[in-house]
This record gives sequence, C-alpha cells and structure tokens, in this order.
Amino acid sequence: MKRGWQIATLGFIVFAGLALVIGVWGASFINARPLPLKDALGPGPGFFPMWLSILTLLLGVGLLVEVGRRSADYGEESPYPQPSPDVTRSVLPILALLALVAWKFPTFPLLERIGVGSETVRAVISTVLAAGCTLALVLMPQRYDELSDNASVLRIGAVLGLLVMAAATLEPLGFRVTAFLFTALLLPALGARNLRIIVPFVLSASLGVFYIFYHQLKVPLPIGPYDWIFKPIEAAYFFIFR
Amino acid sequence: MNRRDFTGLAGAAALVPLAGTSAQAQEFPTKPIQLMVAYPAGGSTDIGARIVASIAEKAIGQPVVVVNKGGAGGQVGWTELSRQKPDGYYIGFINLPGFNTVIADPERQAIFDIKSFTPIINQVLDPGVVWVKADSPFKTLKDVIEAAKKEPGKVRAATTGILSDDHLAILMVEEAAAGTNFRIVHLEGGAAQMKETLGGNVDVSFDNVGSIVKQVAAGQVRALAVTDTKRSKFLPDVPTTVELGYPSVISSSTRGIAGPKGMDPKIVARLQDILKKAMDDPEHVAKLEAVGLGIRVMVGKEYQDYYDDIHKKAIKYTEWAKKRPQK
Amino acid sequence: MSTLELLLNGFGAAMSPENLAFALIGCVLGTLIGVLPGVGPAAGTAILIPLTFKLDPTGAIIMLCAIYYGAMYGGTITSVLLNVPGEAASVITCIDGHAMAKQGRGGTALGVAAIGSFVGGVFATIALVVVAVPLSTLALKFGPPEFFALMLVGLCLVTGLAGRSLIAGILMTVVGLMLALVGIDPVRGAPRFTFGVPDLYDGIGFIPVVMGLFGIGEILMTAEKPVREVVRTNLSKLFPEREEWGRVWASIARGTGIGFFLGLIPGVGSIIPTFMSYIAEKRLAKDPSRFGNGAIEGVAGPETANNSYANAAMVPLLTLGIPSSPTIAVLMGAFIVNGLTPGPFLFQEKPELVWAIIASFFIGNVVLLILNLPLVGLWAKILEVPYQYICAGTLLFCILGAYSINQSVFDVTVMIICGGIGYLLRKLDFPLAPLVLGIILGPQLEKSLRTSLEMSAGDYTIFFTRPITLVLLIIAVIILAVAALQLAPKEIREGGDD
Repeated sequence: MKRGWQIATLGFIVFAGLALVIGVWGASFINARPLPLKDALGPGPGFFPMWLSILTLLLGVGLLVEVGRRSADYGEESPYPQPSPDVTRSVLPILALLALVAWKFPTFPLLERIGVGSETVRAVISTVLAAGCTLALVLMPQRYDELSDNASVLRIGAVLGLLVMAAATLEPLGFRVTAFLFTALLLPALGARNLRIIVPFVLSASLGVFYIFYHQLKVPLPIGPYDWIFKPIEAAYFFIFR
Repeated sequence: MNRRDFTGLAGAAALVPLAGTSAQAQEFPTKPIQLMVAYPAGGSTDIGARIVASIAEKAIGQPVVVVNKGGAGGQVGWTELSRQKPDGYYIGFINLPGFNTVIADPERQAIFDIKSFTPIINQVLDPGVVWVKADSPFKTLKDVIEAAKKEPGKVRAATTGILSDDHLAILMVEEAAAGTNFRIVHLEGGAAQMKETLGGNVDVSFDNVGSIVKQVAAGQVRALAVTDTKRSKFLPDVPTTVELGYPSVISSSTRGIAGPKGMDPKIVARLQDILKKAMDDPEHVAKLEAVGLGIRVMVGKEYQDYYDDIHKKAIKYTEWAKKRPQK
Repeated sequence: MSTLELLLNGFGAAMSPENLAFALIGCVLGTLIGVLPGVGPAAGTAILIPLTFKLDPTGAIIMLCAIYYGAMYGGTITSVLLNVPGEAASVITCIDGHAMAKQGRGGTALGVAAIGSFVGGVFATIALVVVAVPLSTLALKFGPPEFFALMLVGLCLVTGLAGRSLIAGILMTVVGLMLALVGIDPVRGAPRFTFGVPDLYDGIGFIPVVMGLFGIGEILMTAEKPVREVVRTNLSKLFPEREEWGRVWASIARGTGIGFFLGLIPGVGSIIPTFMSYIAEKRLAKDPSRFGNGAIEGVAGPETANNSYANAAMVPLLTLGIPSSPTIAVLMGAFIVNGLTPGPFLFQEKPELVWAIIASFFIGNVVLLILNLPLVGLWAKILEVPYQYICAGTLLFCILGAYSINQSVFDVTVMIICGGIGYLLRKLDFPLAPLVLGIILGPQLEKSLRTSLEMSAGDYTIFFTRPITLVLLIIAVIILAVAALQLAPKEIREGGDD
C-alpha cells in the first residue's frame, strides 16, 4: 500500500514537471509556445499553470516525506478490497496499450490505399483485444477460479478493452452494432452464462435503447452504415406489435 | 456464442470502408439531416435552430436532428462542421462575426477559414445595441461618449465575450469618436452581462437587441442606440448610430446555415429552397419575433457578399483589438 | 390582494386536472432524464421544449419546472445505486449514498434524499414567497470580486474533504485545478494545453470526467472482485433508525439554509451548495470518520441543499430575469418562448400566472415525493440484479450519456481514461472529491479574478475595498489557518514518538 502511494505520488510529480516544461516554458518537440506570466492587467495565461505545477511538485515531495514517516497510517487499512500487488501492476500495461489504441493510432500506407483508415484499424484491433480477453475468460477450463488474480486482471482487461472498442466503433459502426458487440462480449466476460437472459438483454440494449433514445427522445446517436440490416428488423417489430 | 461468431463480427468491422459509398441521392434528402449548433442546448441559436428544424422536417418528410457541439465560443462546432462530408446531410449554424474573429485571431489557431465552408442561407440578424440600467446617469449615447472622452479608461463597458460582435462595436465607437477610451470588461454571455449591469459593476453594456427587448419593455434597462442602418422594429423609439452621427458604427450578430466546402450546387439550391420555406413560415416568424429576434433571410449572392464583407471588418478590428493596450 | 390570497388563487389554477397531469408527466420525464447519466437536466429540458409548444403557457411552464426537479432527483437515484452521478450536483451523493447502498441501506438513502429534497424545496419556496424581492437586490451585489472570494472560500474548505492525509487532499485539489486549465484561457482567448486537439479547446468536459472517475471506477472495482452475495436491501427499513432521525433532521435543516442562500446568488452552480453542505456536515459531526462509509447525514444534507438551491434559484430568475445555471437558462428560454418574461414587472404584469407557477413548485415537490417514496423500494431492488447485467447496462448508459452531451466520441474517450484513473486512485485511497472540486472551481476562480481586474483596470485593492469580498477573504484565511494548525500538532507528535 505504501509503495502504491509512493508510485502514485511520483506520477503526480512527473505530471507537474511535464506541465511546467510543456505548458509554461514551451517545448519545441510538440510545438508548444511559452505562456506569458504577466499581462497589462494582472496574471497572464501562464501564471496559474506555472504556480500550480510548482505547488504540485512541492506537495508531491511533501507527501512522499509524509508517507515515509507515517508508515503505520499507510498500511493495510484501506476499506477497499485489497488484491495482491500483481493485479495493480498488470493493469498499468493494459491501460497503456489501450490508451495507445484509443488515441491516434497510425495507419499503414498500404491499407490506406485500399480505403482502410486508421479508424477501422483501431476498431478492429480493440475488438480483437477485447474479444480475446472475453474468450480467455469463457474458455478457461474448470480451473477457472473467479477470485484468482489472473481472472481479475482479465476481467478488468475485458471491461477496459470493451470500453475502448466501444469508443472506437461507436461512430464507424453505429450505436446499435456497438451496443450489440459490447454487451454480447462483456456479459460472458463477467461470468454470465444463462443465454435465456443474455440474448434478450443484448437485443434490448442495442435495438430497444436505440429506439427509445433516438426515435422517441430525439437524442442524436450514430446510425452507422448498417442501417439496412436493421430496417427489416424494425419493420418486423412494428408489424408484429401494432 | 463461439469463436466463429467473433471472427465473423470482427471481419465485418474491417469491411466497413470497403462496403462502398452510399448511392448518389437522386431525390435529396433520403435520410435524416443533421443541423449542428455550435453552442450548448438552450441558447438562442439553439432555440432558433429547433424551431426551423421542426418546421422543415414536416415539409421534407425526413427528420432534421439538431446536434449541439458547444465549446470555445463555437470553435469546436465549426471545426467539426468543416471536416464533414459535403453531401448535404450535415450542415450547421455559423454565427457571424464570432465565426470570423475566431478565424482572424491567430492565437485561436483555428484549422478552418472562410473558404472551408459553403454558405447556404441566413436566418437571423440581431443588431447590436448600447444599453444601461434604468437609473443610470447616462441618458443618451452622447453622454456615454462624452464621459469616455473626459476620463479615458474609466467608463466600464461590458461585452458578452472576447472578440464578440459587442467587443468589435466598442472598438468601432472608439474609432468613430476620437479620444474615447473605455475600460472593457469581458463577461460570459448575456445573463452575466445583465446581472453585472443591474448590479452596478459595469457602467454601459454592448449586446444585441434580442437579448434586452423584454427588459426594455419592463422598464429595467434603457437602450441608448441601435448599431444598425435602420431602427429595430422591436425598439422603435431607440435611435440608430447613423441618426446620432456615427455612421461607421454598424454591428450585428447574424445566424446563418452553412455546409462544408465543396457542396454540389444542386444540393445547396435544394437546401436553400427547403430552409427558406421553413423560415418564411408564419409559425417560425412568430416564434422568433416573440423572442425579439429579427429575421433577415439572405441567400445566394446577397449572403455571400455579406459573409465576405463581415470577414474583412472582423480582420481589421481583431488586429486592432490585439494591439490595443488594455483589451 | 394580499400575498396569501394571491397564492391561494395560484393554487386554484395550478391544481386543475390538466395542470396536475402536466406536473406528474414532468416529474416522471424529469426523473428518467436524471437517471440517464450525461444527458443532464439542461439538455434534457431543451430537447423537450418543443413538446411544450402545443400546450398552453401555464401548463407548459408547470411541466418544464417539474422536469427540472424530477431530473435533480433522478440523478440521485443513479448516484446512490450505481455510483454514477447523473448530473453535476449528484456527485457528492455518490460518496456516502453508494456506500449506504452497498451496506443494503440503498432504500434508506433514497428515502432520506426524497424527504430532504421535499423539505428543502418546500421551505425554499415559502421563503421565496416571503422574501423574494428584497433579497434579490442584495444578491445583485455579488459581483466578480465577491465571486472570486467565494470560490476561494470553497477551495479552502477542501480541507474538510480530505481523508487521512491533508497533503493528499490538497494535492488532488491542485491537480484538479490544473486539469481545469486546459482549454481557451479567459485572459486572451488563446488555447492552453490543447496540443492542437480541437476537442480540448473547451477544456476537459466535466461530466465525462466525473462519470468516469466515479461510475466507471466503481464498475472496475466490482469487476476486479465481484461481490458474490447479493446485498439484500431490507425494504422494511426504508427510513432511518430512530436514533438517527435527530441527526438527519439537523442536517436537513442546515442543508435547506445553505442551499437557499446560495441559490439566491445568481451564477452559483448547483454543485457548490451540495459540496458545502457535505463539508459542513462532516465538520459538525461527532464522528467524522463515518463519512465516506455510509454516513446518512452525508446524503440528507447535500440532497436537501440541492433541492433547496433549485427552488431558490428561481428567485433571481423570476425577480430579475437572470438565470443562475445553464439549466435555468434553458427554463428561461422556455418561459420567454411561451410568452412569460422573467423580471421584476412580472409580478405586476401577470400575477395570476406567476403565482400559479409558484404554487406549482409546491405541487411539484409533493408530486415528486409521492411518486418516488413508494418507488424507492423498487429502485433499490435493482441492486439485486446479478452484477454482470448491472455492469453491462450501466456502462452502456454511460457511453450513451457521455456521447450525447456533444455528440462526440472524445467525451467518451475522456470518460474511459478517467475511469482507469479513478480506479487506480481509489485503490490507492486518494480522495476523489477534492479533485472534482478543483475542476469545478478552477475556471470560475480564474475568470472572476480576470473580470475583477478588468473592472478595476488592474487595481488589486478592489478585493479589499468591497465589504463582502473582504469578509469572505478573511473567512478563507481563517479556514486555512485552522487547517494548518491541525497539520502542525501531528508533526510535533511524530517527532515525540521517534
């Protein structure tokens, strides 16, 4: 626990340092311009960034000192369930990888030429990642112990991966397809097995929710290019229930 | 739920861009049109947009969905608009001259300029107005100008935003009446401006007619001048800056609809037709006038000329605003 | 006609069958909107305005106000049950409300919130009737310098939100302030920390951040260690224990006061009264360590303050025509479109209409109570659904909600990243509330500082020559001094132990 605090505090210190270097003093490697500290009337745009970064640095150091001296307080009394340190450590690389995928994933010239843009690549990669975690959880044989650390990591990976996938596919594929994939993959990943509940849930999540929010409440949601798949389903629904 | 289904779905995802572009629309529109408003829901542009949308969609049989993309005084929304496909299914409101100053101000680093859009039709023209609270010592525009000449930098003049049309109007006054100098206070929006004026924290305010019509009628505030060539039908007793001897102080806020650049002229013409009918509709006129917004429909060359003209003015005053010692 | 007669006439008009129906529909719609995370009351109300075009003005306004209150309560439901703040003001309810839900006391939390909201709303409306006009002119005296000082006081109060480590609390606040710096700066309108990403020009959206930090963070915690035994909500315990009632009433009373006075000041957002109430409750409690683990005052106080604020914020709207928050600005737009101009002459021009609306505030509060109390048990039962479905459903709604704010996937991405960060911070026991406070207060602080200096042409003495500002600044200094004193003795003690 104590090490966790120390690592996190170091993280804040690095964050503050970056803010100072990039934001206030300007870093040419990312085309940042220095922010002026003073203005005719008072504090300029750079005033608060600089002083807040410096304050963060000082507080970070102070916290490190405090954690060092008061080790008793930073022991194992957290009210939250405490997994072994392994889980926390393995979440970080998952997060980093997903962040990379979610952000500006580069594309490849060859793919661009046949019309596959970076958006599609992101969508596909995150779908594969998330599906992979889900599969691992679903197919793990009888040794599957839900409370083991490995299972925890995979579950968190599945949730985060599916979230990233959803964000990546929301506009290219539309809300209905995204919701369908999201719920269909997430439920088994978390341990749901009863198809009789899963199927109606997935269908109402993708089609029902869309109907209520887009058609009734007029909340704009991405339709996506697969509208032609859903038109017959919606027509059938109206036919049956009207 | 098995492996094959997953790969199948993933493969389908990869095929998206290869599925081919949608067929050229013979009879536009064949699917819903998105009408973007670059401000959060509930503002006056948004209300005007929803009124137009609800009338237009009845006529064309397709939904016209209002999409709010607020932020950075409109910059976020206009950036988004400039990147959309020019197929006529995504159009949005542009608010001049706010739109122009964002482009003209180098610090805003806008990725679009006036060539990035295809102007379609203008809806509202809301002239600027100079106003004070009802019990203010200033009874006419002349009083304000004289006070600003006598004690430069002391009269506190409020705008509704940095480089808004109000800000430019103040600069125009300073230019027209040599020797005047205001202490410009930038507030965020009409509500804040109303509050600070009534509270006595600023001495005079520059805003638009639509924002103060009701308060003038209620006697809370006094309008000193309308910065237009002719009197506003909502404030018939208020003189124009032209009448008062300052013909160069002309400023208003206009709201029009535009699409990304490169739109097919046939689609533009169809949109103009649809939207003009909606704007001429008596229900539309009545609802907008109830809020004090004057409709000034402009299409084609008239709108294009206006668009270019405002931009020239915006560049001039933006540069001046940047150099002026106390903004 | 005396005020009382006018009010009674208003009740007569407001209690017509159609208007009652509108109030009911409005409460239901509003609650549904509030339950959906992301689509806040502002956007939801705006979307529903065209619906009201077909109704007569009185009915339309009654319905819109009911939607407003309903949305406030709907946000509470998701905060308590799912730890997802439905809208900004519900953030603080997540802290103790969700903790109570995890202990099986979700029904109690919702019940207390409903009762507190009702009491706060009714008292605020009564006070509105009595002291509306004179107090509103006083509220106008709150200019940018006073706002700056008030925000400063709010920041200093963060010392009350810090958990075991004051330094960590302050660190989180400062980080929150730094995150709020992203975007167009209020000084020159130039982008700051945006790295050329247009979506960042307006800053990191607040709602996606809190949805991620609280909502998704919570779901990640659950995914990591799924709760095996379903927490059975005891329906017979919909109300607090007998010995708790005393404390609950006290916090409701305080919440009403805090919410009402802050609601009168135009421009104070809905979050500030809830935070202040929570801090006040924590400070005044005999055993502050209960807070964060299901302290019932941590729900009763803020929820009351929230509703009291919502009703009181009508005062600047009706008497001066100044909206206090974006949601109320939308309501004002709706009023105007329906022919009603808020302002001091409103009471003289159309008294029947105004009093009918005020009467409908009372009715709205009653309808909300009647609607929600019986349903509280039902809502709480949601927690008994197997956790996989709760997680999947909540996450889907979060995605939908975050997207619908600005039709932007960027907001969804922000939410997800904050989800990961929130999860890590919670595992390490860093307090989240100060971070949120920093993000909210940061922009207001900088803007009001800037505007104050524009008003005074760069003269800093403006902060010391205005009486209200000076008083608030002194209060801030006192709060800081008390906090510093709390820090010092521990250090001395520590030295002694070594």
